[in-house]
Amino acid sequence: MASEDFLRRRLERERKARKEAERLLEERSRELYYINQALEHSRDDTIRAKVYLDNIIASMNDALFVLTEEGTIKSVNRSATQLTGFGVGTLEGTRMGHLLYRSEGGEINVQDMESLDVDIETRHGNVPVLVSTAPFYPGSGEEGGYVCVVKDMRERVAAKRLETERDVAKSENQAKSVFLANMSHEIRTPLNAIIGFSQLLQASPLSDQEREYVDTISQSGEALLTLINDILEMSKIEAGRLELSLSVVDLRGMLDKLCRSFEPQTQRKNLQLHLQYDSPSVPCVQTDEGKLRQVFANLINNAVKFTERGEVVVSARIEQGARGRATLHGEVRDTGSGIGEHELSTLFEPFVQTESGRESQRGTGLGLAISRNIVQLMGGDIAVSSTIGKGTSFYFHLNVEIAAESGVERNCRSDSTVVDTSEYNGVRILIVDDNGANRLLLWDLLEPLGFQLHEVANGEDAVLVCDSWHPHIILMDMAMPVMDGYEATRRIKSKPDSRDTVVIAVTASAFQEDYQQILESGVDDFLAKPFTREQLFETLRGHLDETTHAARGKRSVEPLDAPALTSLDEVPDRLLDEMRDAVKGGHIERLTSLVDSIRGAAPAFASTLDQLAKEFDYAKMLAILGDPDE
Amino acid sequence: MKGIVFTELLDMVDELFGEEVTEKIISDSELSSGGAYTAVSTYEHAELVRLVASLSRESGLSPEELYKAYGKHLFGVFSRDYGFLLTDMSETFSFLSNIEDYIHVEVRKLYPDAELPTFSHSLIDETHLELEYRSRRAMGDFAEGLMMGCAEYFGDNIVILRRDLSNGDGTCIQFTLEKVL
Repeated sequence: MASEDFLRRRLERERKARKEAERLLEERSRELYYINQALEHSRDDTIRAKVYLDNIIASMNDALFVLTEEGTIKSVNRSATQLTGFGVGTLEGTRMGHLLYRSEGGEINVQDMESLDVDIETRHGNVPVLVSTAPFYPGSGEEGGYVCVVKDMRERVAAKRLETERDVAKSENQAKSVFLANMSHEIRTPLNAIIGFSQLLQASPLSDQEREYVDTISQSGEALLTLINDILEMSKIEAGRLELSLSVVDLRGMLDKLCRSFEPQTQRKNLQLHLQYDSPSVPCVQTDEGKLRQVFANLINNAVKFTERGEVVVSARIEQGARGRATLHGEVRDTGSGIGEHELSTLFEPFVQTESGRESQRGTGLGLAISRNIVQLMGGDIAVSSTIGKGTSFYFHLNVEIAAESGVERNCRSDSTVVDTSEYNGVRILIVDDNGANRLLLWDLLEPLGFQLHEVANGEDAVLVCDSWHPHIILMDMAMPVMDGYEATRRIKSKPDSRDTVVIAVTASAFQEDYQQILESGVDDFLAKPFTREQLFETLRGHLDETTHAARGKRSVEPLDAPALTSLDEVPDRLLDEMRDAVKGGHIERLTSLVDSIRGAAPAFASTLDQLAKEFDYAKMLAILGDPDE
Repeated sequence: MKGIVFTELLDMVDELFGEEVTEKIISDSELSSGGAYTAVSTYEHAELVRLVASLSRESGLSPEELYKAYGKHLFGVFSRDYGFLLTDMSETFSFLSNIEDYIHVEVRKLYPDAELPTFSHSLIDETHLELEYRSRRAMGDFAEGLMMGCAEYFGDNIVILRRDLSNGDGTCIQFTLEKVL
């Protein structure tokens, strides 16, 4: 009743209170859940931030040292352990000042580490570094300290040293080049005399023993001259003073002639020498003929030198590009003994010779270096590949320009002298030489000009052909079997029908020839071997005028005001005397200036003297200058 | 006011006056909560005032006497249920000096939204402590009861004097406690 009521009410209140408590509990649980979530996110954020920061520090190239306020290492990054080679445990707790070394010595205070160029101690010795330190204030109640970044300066130091060394080497090199250039001039002058006078001696009567001595002196002089020229070339290259002189070149013709000049050697060694020219549509290119020949000559020379059997193949190919530009691909391949791989890399260095090169004791070791420089100067490069026992191939490429106009083409075929071939139809030239190659050379040179040609191999045949064919000009080699040139000339000149036949003695520039004998045999002119195309034409031209156009009279190719001097008679005696003196005294510079003085009036004569002077053929020069002693 | 104040009061009424009296004062007080209190919840202070007023009518004791008695009783309850709060204390004055800095801090851990009076203290000497009580609810008698309960717990003989600093509304009272040795 009342108590039941009472109990019921109480129970009811209890139940209500319980429910309320439960509700509050659930509410609180939910609150806790969200708080927990937030905490976890916050924790994840913190972790992420920490990982991010850790990664940054670990990725630094530079070493990072966190120091206490006193300068003791508190923590380091990975680069710090890598740089020093010490472990984390070793580094932590060490004073930073103990790791750093100044040349003056003494421990460095952390306050002085703001920016330092010092050495740091590592496991493998001291290393130059750049130290950069800054204080930091954590601001969270933690202790502050210093952040010290250490940068490895080894590479920079090494690079600096290298640069200095390079500069020093460069200036040393330049000084050397200047010195060499000066010296070589000083050396040349007496060398001229040595060569010149030994040539003179060779032309005079000597005993066999004496001749042997003089030959040796002469050859040594020549070798020395080659060396000086090579060295001078190298020094010019190093000083960057090598210039290209461009002209239109009959590439095929040049290579032909070059290969032919090696025939004596290849024949002697029983080697095949082939020329493969692969650009029939491009006969002429514009390039530096001399330098190009030099490169080919050097490579062919090496190939022939180092090949004992088999063949040497010279190939050239023009690869046409845009706007008249082209690339010349040249190669000289041999079946020689090959070059070892260890030598290939230094082959193009100056003064390096292969083992076999050194063994043969010839060459200066500069040829390939010069060739490479020339090729590079012409916009290309050179390389080598070789197999021991099989052979070697030197191959290069360089830039040339295509000479496209037809007028220019003709020019290149005839070496910048305009030749009207029609004028020479009907002119008959007889080529007399016992050497087939020599005959072929002359034939190839003369045939395109429209001459009618014939060739014989000895003096006797020459006389016979002269009788039957009546050549206008005979190019006569003097040393031949059966009947030599002297005898043939004498016979031809003695017959009235053939007296006026122009006989041009084609003589070797070797020194055994008796020039007196030549002149006495009655030749009209002579041409010294090896002769250039210009020299051949100059020589012929003088006589062609006589032969074909008597009315034209003697004149030189360039129209000049002064009369052309084609014979000695028209050069003043005084001048001849002075030139002779200059030659005898080895005063080349004086001779050059004297020759210059007649160059305008007698270009052919002057150019002949130039050529002889270049070859140091003083005997010949004296002969030409009409030395009374000769 | 936290529910615990209500639940313990009703338990005390049960104990001292009997369950029927509890029932009576609840029904007499017109409580919006209906008298269903749980310690962890929060209820209006006005309900407490009504309950005590009703109890005063039933028991014949004045509200002041009832508040004091309840305060003393409640300290005992606290000392049993939250004994860990007292373990570092050795006597009354040290406990009372730490109400603000320690006790109330712990209270807020459990009941973050508890509205608690603020105490400032100054220890005059070994035997005299001044406590300044401030509260909107002006429960000075209740506070005095708690202090008496505290003294009894520590076994100290304390004489409590009070002075109203608040122009009679009891919201700021200065208690001076004298330890009688």
